[in-house]
Amino acid sequence: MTETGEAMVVVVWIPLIVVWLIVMIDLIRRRGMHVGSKVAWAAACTLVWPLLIAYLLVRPTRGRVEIERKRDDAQSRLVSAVLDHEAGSIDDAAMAEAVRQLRAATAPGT
Amino acid sequence: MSGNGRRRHRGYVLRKIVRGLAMLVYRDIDVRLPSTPISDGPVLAVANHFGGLSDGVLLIDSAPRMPRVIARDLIWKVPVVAQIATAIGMIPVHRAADGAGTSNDRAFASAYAALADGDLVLIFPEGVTQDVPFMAEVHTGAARIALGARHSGVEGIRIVPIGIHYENKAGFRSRALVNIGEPIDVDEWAQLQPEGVSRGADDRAAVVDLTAVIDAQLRQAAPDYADWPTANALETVAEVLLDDVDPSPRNGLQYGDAALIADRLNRLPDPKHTRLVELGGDYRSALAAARTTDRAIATATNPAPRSWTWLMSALLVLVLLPYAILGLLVAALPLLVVIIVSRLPIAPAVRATVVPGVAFLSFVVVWVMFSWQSLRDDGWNLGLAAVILFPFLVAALFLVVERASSLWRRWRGWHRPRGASLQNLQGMRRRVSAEAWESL
Repeated sequence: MTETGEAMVVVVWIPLIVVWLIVMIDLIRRRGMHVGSKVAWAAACTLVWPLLIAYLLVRPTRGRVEIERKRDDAQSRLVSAVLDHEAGSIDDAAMAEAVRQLRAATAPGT
Repeated sequence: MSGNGRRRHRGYVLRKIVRGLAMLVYRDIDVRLPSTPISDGPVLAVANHFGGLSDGVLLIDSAPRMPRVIARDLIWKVPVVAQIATAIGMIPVHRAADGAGTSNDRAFASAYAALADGDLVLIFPEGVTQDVPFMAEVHTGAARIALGARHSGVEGIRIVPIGIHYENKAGFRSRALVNIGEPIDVDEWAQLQPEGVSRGADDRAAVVDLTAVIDAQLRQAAPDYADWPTANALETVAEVLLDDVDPSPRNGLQYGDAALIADRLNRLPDPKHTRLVELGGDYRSALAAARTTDRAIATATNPAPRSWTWLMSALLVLVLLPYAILGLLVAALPLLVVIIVSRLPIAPAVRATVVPGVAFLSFVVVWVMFSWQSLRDDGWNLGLAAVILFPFLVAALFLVVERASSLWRRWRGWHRPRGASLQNLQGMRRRVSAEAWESL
């Protein structure tokens, strides 16, 4: 084995374990995938390393809706209120109340 | 397998490749979805065209399914690109400005057929890319395709405006927002026309009317500022509003949030609009002169709740630092190439095409070489491990550099201006904030 190869043995395991963990957590948390498929992917990725990359490439990307819905912080609530108000989904009173609540949460001294 | 099935499989593979490219080129991509899903049925997406190839990358990555892109026939004159374009079902359109005398009947027929198959067809109705912060005139192509397809019997067509916003369209590891607007139901629109729509794409009045609707909806979704100072000033006002409600968001200020609020402020009527542009521009200049940020000024009198997220970031940087250094070693060449290309003295819209292309080619070539060398010298085990190691090291490099930059900005925030300079900036900020909240 060359010196590069020896160095790689030292550095290769931690990244591999991290990527393997990422894939396993993704498999466990993924919805809409058959349990058999999950087990097959988990076994294959554990036995053959490059399949980790294959899995990360071919796995169904999580829906963007899901990603967007995950956010529920004050800034995203402000954006939603502003755009909903402009679109007419909420009236002036509801907008004023949303703004009041958002600003009250970060007013000096609170 | 049918032709359509094969094309969809190729589209699936291409979307995966584009996902990787988008993750490489952009630090963060925000996507705002419409309330009505557009994952099924015939959809004609219309998007602004500020970033050349970057627009295509962002749209293919963010769209709920692989779009059939209508593009200038110049693409089919480039070897390899032409084959890829044909394989994934792109539709060539001829422009008189490119010296084409050919009619676009075939392009229109292909678009009708794609919509009849329930595909998502994508068109850039401005025609060409540009380097200004406002949209050019929207041409009639989209309306003609929608009305022509409807006339040929396709039901349920929806036109979806998509606005693409860039933090820096020519930059590497920048941020972007893909703002997918509410769909226009073509059948509903046609029923509301007093004269009716009878002749499809040849109905000149209907084409003009529908184009006006598309133009208005697209300008609502896309950036459409009078000039760069206006865009920058309103972005600063948007940051003030966002920092007012939460000066220390968990994941930092999202570019998409600031872009959407700035767009909303840009649609305010005068004199509110002019006043905000003036105040925002002055405050932005003052912040730049004091080399500080709005967040630093916002938290001077209203400190954010104590948070230890910075400590987690610092620990992550320390743990990943050795891998980031290795990443720098293995990816030094492609990084250097991309940095040089992103600073070339060429038009930003051209750079927005060149940077993703060069980044993709250079990183893939080095990835293959790195893996091949390990495979040849160290055997199968380490060779295959190298296939995984390369993207891990590059990801570690980006993560460490970006977290470290964020920590540096945070540290600078602690060293905000003091005394009269701080009071002056706080006074300016209060005026911007009061005016902006009043305007909403």
